[in-house]
Amino acid sequence: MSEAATEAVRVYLDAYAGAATPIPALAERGAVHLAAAGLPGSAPESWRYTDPGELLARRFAVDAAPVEADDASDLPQLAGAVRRVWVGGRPAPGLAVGEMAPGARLWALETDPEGVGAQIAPERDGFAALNALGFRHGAGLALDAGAVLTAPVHLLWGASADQPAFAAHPRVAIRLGAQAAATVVLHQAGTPEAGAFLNSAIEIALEAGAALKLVVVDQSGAGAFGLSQIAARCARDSRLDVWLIDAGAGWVRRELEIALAEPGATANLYGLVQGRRASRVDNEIVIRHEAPHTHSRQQTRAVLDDRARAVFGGGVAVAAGAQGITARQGNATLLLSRRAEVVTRPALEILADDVQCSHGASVGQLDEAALFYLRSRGLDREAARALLIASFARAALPDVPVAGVLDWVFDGIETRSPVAATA
Amino acid sequence: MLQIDDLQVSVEDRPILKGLTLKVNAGEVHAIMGPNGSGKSTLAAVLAGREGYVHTGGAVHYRGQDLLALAPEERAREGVFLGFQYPVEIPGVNNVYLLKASLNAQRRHRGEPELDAFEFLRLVCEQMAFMGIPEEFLRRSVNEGFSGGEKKRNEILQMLILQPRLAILDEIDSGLDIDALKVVSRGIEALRSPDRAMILVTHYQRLLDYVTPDFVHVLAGGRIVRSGGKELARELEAEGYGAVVAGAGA
Repeated sequence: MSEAATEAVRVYLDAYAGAATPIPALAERGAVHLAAAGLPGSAPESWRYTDPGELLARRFAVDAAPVEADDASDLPQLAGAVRRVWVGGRPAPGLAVGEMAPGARLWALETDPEGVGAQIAPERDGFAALNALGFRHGAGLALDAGAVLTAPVHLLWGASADQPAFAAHPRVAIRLGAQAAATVVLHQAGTPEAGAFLNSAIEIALEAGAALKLVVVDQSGAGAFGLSQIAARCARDSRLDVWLIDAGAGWVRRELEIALAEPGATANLYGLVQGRRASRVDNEIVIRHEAPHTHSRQQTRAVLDDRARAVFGGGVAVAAGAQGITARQGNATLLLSRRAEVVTRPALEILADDVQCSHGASVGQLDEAALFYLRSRGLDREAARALLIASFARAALPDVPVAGVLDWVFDGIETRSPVAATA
Repeated sequence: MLQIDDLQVSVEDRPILKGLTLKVNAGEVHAIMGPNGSGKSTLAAVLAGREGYVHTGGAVHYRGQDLLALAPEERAREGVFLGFQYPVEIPGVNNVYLLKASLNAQRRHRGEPELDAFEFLRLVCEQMAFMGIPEEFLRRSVNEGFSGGEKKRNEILQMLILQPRLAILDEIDSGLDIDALKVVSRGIEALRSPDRAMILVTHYQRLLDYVTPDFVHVLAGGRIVRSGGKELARELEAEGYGAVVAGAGA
């Protein structure tokens, strides 16, 4: 472990150990593992292209001071959604909107943390251990069998621009009973000028036939460090659709592990990274086909400008005996600058023989012929560029269940038919 | 409308246009014909402002302005329209969106108010019906998955909506079957008016059966080697470029 990492571990242990915590046993395990494994404390190969050094060298207030709701009232909203907000890692009940329908429960996870840690154990790696140790506030969402939510659930972690740099370690637990269905938006937006570190752990369990549409949006900005670990287990015939959307994130590392545990389970993953300046976005995705007749698709795109870098680790693991599965992966990247960079690392581990797996990656620049065509129709160069970029990016995010999200992402650049809206 | 004097243009240091002179007045339709490699498409591209063409001599004036000094979008807003030989497919950008953005860019430039969505839609539907373009076109991306004929119809549709002062149609007839050729020709004829001019760049005489030009020019070796009336097209058809170009002493 580097000197910076050793020092960071010491600082976090000093700050969190012994403080009041919702799950003392989990925090204790976290402290033990953090001390033993250090940071990042997991497979060096997966960290090869993302340097945690800058994050480890930074110091954050471990317990952010409460922020007046008014100071964060300009955080993005989603029309029609049930909304819960945390500002600086602390709940902001004044910004909450809406209540849950019968058959569904949305609660402050720290008040009833039963089952937390079952999928993301503190022993997973150093950051999971740190989360277990530093966890104070989070969200639980549970649906009874057959419950279907019509309104999306918008869980927003924000900050006010003038609060001090803070670290928070939220957890989210989403549990859908058999045949239940929900749409959840996990959203990070706004960062203090001083910076922030959000180290999240998200545990998802879908019972038979359940369907979850999960939209993960990061708009946290240049000063933010966002690390999230997402683990999902999908039972028989359940379906998980995920949209990972980065719009102006600074430093992001996302580890997403989906277990297709029983026959008929399906996971579709779409991703868009829009990198500018020196942004670093690393999506490490592993889909485990543990049962026969499970299906997955990973379709990611990146638009990278300046010195931005995106990493896509796309892992597919097919267990012995998991016959009749399909697993598809594809990445397309648009490089707008010579210094921008994309790394795609498909990793296939296949222990069955009746499988269909494919992966493909493409990297390109803006199409000059298309640019000239648009300009010859009267669009100026910048408008034509923006249009081509937005159209490439939009194609990365088909069928987003909450249309309002796209307005955050595309800054109002429209490529769709103006007729559809009026006809 | 358009005055081209001794225009010289190179591509990658290779001279393509070698002193081309042409005058086009409002109300006129000119056909520029010539063998492959004579510089026809280069002329169209240079007039529209495509990059990669180096202007090495001569001048082009459009309504009194130095046309070559304008960016492609400025030319478009001043009323110059290029119909592409190979219209570009742009996945993800909706056809109608592009039409609306183009028209409004032009209207803003002229100090006119933008059309609202309702007026615009009425205009588009009218012209689509005229061009025999099915309604599903409204939902599709620019030229994406279009057949050759559909792409050319789309070029003409754009032209009819933008109502250019000077339309340059580069091989608009290539790849069209006879029915599509008739529709495209009808679109061209519809735009003909005393205050507009058109340049039809074509290899074949076929288009001129449906659109009667006022002048026909033969382009060979980067220069106009012969000019005449519509009968010149017949002569080309009958005798071939070789004889006509040789007869002109080029």
